Amino acid sequence: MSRFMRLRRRPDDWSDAHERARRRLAERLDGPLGLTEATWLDEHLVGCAACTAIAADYEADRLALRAMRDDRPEPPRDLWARTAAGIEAAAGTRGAEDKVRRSLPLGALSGVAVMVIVVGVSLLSGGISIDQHGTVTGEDPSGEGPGLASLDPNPEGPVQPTPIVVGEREVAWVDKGPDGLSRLQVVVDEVCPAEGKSGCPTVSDAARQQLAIVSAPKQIVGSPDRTQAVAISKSAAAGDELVVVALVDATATPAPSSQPTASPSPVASDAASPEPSARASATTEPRASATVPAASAPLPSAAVASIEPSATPTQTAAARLAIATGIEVVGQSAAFSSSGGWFAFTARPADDATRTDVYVWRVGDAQAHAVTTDGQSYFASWDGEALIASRPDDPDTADSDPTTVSIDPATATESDAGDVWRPAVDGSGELAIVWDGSLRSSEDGRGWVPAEGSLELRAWSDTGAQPGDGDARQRRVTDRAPRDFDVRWDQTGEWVAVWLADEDDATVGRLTLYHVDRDEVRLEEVDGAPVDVPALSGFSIGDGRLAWATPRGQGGESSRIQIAAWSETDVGIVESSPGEDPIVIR
Amino acid sequence: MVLDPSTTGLRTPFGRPSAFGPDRRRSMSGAWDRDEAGAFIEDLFAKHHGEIYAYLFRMMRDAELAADMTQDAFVKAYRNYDTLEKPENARAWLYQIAHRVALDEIRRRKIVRFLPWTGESRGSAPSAEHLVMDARLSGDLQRALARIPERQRAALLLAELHDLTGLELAAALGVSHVAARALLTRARESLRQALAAERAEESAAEAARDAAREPGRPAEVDR
Repeated sequence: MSRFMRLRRRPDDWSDAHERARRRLAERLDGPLGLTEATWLDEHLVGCAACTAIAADYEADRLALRAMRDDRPEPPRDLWARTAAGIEAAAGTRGAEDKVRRSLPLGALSGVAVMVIVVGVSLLSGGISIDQHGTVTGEDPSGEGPGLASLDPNPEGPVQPTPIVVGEREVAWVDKGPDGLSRLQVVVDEVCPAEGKSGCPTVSDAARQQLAIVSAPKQIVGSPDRTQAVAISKSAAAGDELVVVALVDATATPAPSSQPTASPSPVASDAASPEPSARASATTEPRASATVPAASAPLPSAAVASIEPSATPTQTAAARLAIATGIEVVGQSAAFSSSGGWFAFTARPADDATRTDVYVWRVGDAQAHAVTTDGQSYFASWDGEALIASRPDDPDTADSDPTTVSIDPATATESDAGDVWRPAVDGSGELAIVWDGSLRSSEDGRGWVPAEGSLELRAWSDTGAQPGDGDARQRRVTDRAPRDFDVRWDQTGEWVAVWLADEDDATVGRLTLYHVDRDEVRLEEVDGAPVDVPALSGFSIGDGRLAWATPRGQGGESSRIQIAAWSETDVGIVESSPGEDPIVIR
Repeated sequence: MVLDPSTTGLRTPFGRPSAFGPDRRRSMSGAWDRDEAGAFIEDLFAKHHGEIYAYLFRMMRDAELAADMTQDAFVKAYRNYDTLEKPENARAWLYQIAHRVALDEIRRRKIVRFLPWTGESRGSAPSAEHLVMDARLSGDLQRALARIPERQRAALLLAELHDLTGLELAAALGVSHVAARALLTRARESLRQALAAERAEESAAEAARDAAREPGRPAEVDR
């Protein structure tokens, strides 16, 4: 049998009483069992000679191990001299090896505007004016106008921060409005310095576009050209539902069209583009296109309800296509390929919680389908149009090393891509942030998580992650095993954001923005950039913007959307007013 | 409407202590005192180098390699001095560094798990000291330990020979307390099975030798 076809047993799913007894006997050596298990074990041992013998073996092995203490090997006498020389050498080079702290690197900011979709942000008001094109401008307490704005070099300076001009870029999010979920879109061209103590205006009113999404998504992933997004929501039936929704530029001047489009009106509440309610239900709007066949094998255990599948998504707010149901999406790595032609994610069938595979949806197809069949694979990232997936090398154990493959999404042909876990490859395919280390079965026994190793920057090639050169500290994000992580690069490959899930709650974590020295393959921290800031899962990075949602505060403070933006010389911040628990597009 | 630094999570400056480790800013700034770090590591070496060496020796089964790795571990400790949050955790922190040094070496060399012990060190004839160690490590138990996965082996060595408590063991292995205990449980079963296999193979080999010593008797091996 292929090793990919074997299923892992859940931790508490005992195959027989003897296995249970064996486990408890071993556990008993390291601490008392609970009363129930202790009583059960004692009763079992009375009638089981084999297990009693195993208990004796465990005790004997332990005594033998402890007897080895008497034979402790002695280190060589010159060990301190050697070590001291090593420390002296390290002290001499430490200054040069430390990760570079620097001001912003010079470099042109280019590319398309970033789009941020956030669910649950309440209507925003006040503070910032918005012009007829949806452009947000901050209050200018200095009276000098944005053209003269610069970072105040004195952090103890004026209370009112001087805005940082970052160039006009669009930012959008989704709001729960009276008619359902809508996308809000603004243009942010100024932010406040990180040192700004107060007085920085919040982002405010925006143009709106109603979205054909019924329930609040857990994740929304936008396509590179911002014409569509995949919303991952809890399904009314079992599992999750993946729905593709078309997006329109809510701030653009509307062209004459028979199709409904979002209004460019700067008045947020009036700009919603009402949609027929039937659009929100796949079952109420049968279309001939619902029968468009998938290009590959159908999704196991997953039903499909499709509407308007199209290779060229329409610019209407109403377009809606359910590409998968009856599955449970795993992790945070779902993403479109760089061309926008494919969308990949990790999921397991809702009725088989132990099988995890990579699924792809080709834009224009009616449904997504599994591209792996081993039941142990996780989508990592896209390397151009190649799909990168990772799986445990030995899934039948509780601890395993990882292995990674590159997959052609059209043919499912796999090629080896090294032995790291979930590499997040940049757009050029030359760098990646990878988990270099081992895996362990997750606490619930349903998946795999990092165990021992480090999350770090590596050079990347067709053969996978290359060995790290130089000081690992300059490449390392963390050497503590995160419960989950999400790594996203901007279009230039010079900026990367890393989100690490909290140990106790995988929906919240910490977010850090790094600048990347591509020549030296090292990470750099930039003054003013967010480091380990609290963030809900899901963030957006691109075109000089990093956007995320803050967790609810312990004092009842609602979540906010925060946007770090950088110019060629400065990094600053702007944020929304408090809202619901938001989820930012990836 | 204004930003409220007290509620945004973006307090001035942006950097805040990480939930996953020490304050990166502090570690990146190179602000710690090198003399203080050097003195601390020297003191740590005096107290713990013997047990760290012993652990690495037992993991790698190579005296020279263990010495090199012990040196590497203490140099790494010096370089990462700012990651030690509480001095009272220094021992477990040191074991964590040594453990990672061992795993890195194992991962790089892919040698330890099934490599038969030859008693020969790298590139030179075995020393008398080495031969003594070889004899010391020739038992079933050492061979069985070499057969089990390295993380399980580490857990057993640290818990049973190096007296790490549950929390210290978890810290040294870089996993949660629950995961460390689970690893130890699996390690005990792996060792039991490996020992059984070792003894079965040894019995078979002994039977073959006995048969070879008796002239005219065909060599039969119990299976």
